[in-house]
Amino acid sequence: MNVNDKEILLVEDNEDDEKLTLRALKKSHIMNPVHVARDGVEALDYLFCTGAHAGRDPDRLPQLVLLDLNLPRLGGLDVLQRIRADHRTNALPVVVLTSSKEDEDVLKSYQLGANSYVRKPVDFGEFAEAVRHLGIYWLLLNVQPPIPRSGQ
Amino acid sequence: MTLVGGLVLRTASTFVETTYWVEHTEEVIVALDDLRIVLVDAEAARRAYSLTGDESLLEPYATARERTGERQAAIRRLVSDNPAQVERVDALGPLVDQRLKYLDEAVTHRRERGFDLEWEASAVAARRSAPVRAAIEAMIAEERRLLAERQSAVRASFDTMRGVLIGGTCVSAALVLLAFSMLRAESDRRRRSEQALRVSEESLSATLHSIGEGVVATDPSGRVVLMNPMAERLTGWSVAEVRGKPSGEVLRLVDERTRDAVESPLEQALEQQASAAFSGPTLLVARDGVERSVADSATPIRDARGELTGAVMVFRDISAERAAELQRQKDEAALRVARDAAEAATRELEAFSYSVAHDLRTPLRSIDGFSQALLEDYNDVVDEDGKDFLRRVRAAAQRMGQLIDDLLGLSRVSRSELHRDDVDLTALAREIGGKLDQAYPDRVVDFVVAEGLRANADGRLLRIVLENLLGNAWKFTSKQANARVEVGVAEDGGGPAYFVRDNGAGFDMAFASKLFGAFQRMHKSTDFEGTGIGLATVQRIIHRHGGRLWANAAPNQGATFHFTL
Repeated sequence: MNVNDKEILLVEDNEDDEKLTLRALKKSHIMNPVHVARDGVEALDYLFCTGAHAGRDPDRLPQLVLLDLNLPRLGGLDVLQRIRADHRTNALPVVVLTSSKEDEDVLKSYQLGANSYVRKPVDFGEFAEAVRHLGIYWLLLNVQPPIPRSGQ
Repeated sequence: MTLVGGLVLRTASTFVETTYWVEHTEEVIVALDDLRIVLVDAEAARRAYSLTGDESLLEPYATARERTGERQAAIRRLVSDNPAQVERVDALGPLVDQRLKYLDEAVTHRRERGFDLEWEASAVAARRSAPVRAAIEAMIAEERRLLAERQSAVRASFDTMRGVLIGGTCVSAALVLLAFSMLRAESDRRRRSEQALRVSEESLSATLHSIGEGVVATDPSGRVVLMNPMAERLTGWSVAEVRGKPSGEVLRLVDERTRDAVESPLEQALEQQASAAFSGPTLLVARDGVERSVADSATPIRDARGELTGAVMVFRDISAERAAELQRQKDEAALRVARDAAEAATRELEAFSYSVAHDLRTPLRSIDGFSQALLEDYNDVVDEDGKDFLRRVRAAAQRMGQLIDDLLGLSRVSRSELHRDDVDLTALAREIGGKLDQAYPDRVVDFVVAEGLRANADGRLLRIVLENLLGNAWKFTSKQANARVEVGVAEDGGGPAYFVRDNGAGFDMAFASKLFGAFQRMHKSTDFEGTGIGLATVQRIIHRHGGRLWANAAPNQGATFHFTL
């Protein structure tokens, strides 16, 4: 299995941020496919193959979730909580990628089981650097948890 | 004493008895003498008749028989207790009869024969009178002997009595003296303890009169026995009016809130035989209806043997304190409302800050990111002027991002709770200095931190203070060849005033008033970059600690920032 086959789920409602994130990934030569979910509900539908994603193969989990916190419908912290509560996804690497630097957001994210918390800098150079580090670490260096079979 | 009394009594009764016998003896003697005289008179009358023949002279002779009988009967009665004398009286009877018979013969002889000198001269008559006289005199002698005996007995008895009396008197006197001294000692003791009691009572009374607390005491049945003037004033009753009445009639107590009657602690103390006090705010209703908040306690009184003898209650008018307390509660409630409002406002501010943080920074990121994309992807299309504009757009966006971050920092400083702790200021300053050295590796700064600087402060906030002050010091010494930054402590009116001193650009004290305002800058941004929020943040943190922040500086001569915590 090629490393690049491993998918990234980007949960982001802002199109500008989506474009900039994708650009930063590309500049860091991270060519993995990226699925973008526009809000929390869509993200959970994709992960658990429900709603619009009912036909998707549930065994194909993304390698990494980049999760914004301020999302329409269902917030990022709620999404994180659902991911950790389900046995299929409770070991999935989730990196919180957000504008907020509030202590409360940082603390809650870690308490709910985020693997990392990265604040998006205004300076695109810094942002691109951060995304590059994330990609290298989570997609190349980090040893993934074994993917649980559905029905287990 | 009883013994002496008994002796005296016995002696006295002996004396009385003896006296009786003396009188008795004399009576006997008189009676015997009478008998003798009757007989002598009768003889004298016979002789006179013999000489004169005058029958009228015979009267004593004529009654002699009758009178001697009476006398003999009297004597017999008197001596009936004395068998020896009774025998003599019996013997005396025939002798008296013989004498009377002789007188009869002599009178008859004269009547029949006339005066007979020869017969008269014969000693018969004399002889015949002698035995009677002798018998009477023997009896008298016997009686006199008895008298003497009895008199000496009386004397002896009297002496005994006197002795007994004298002895008894002495013993009595001794006893009396002893008793007197004992009584006196007892009375002294009693007087002393009475005096001590009086002194103690006086001081107790003075205390009861002067203390600011009301005091009511009751007997075991709860009836009032004592009230001090303060209790009289607070209840409106005088002790004279209520003495003996149940304490509940005098102490009308109601619950402040429910206005239900409250059992007086006195009654509780008596019932439970233990100290008691009101559980909640209580009002005392005076006789005139005036209500006063009171605080009190009551305790049972026991005597030395532990018997319940009553109870005493001490109470105090706390109306003023209670009013102050109620006012305080009202103020607190108002304060709570204000605080709730402030907290609501703060929550709103937090939500706003969050929104600012997230929503304002997001477009800035787009501005910066896409400007950068233009510069990179359209490098061949955009000329140098265009590239310069794009760089300015990026710089402005980044600066605005910094401003927003600093403003959020300032608001976070105001919002966060203060947690004071013992902070090692020396270590903290050195840690921040080390980071600044890393951040500006091309700078050489002589950084001196005094040893053992400690402060009672919020460590997280104090870190922000030092980050700002040291960051400024690093920044404003950047044009200085021999940059020097010093952290230390000085005395300020008894407390420590910490300071951060540099030998950098300094500033004109004329503008010092603007120093701590947000967005106020002392230097052109082309000389020294910055948002002008750092010192405003520092001042807010120092003020939150209740401390002061001030600066001393001169242009190109460095600046010193002092702060207390």
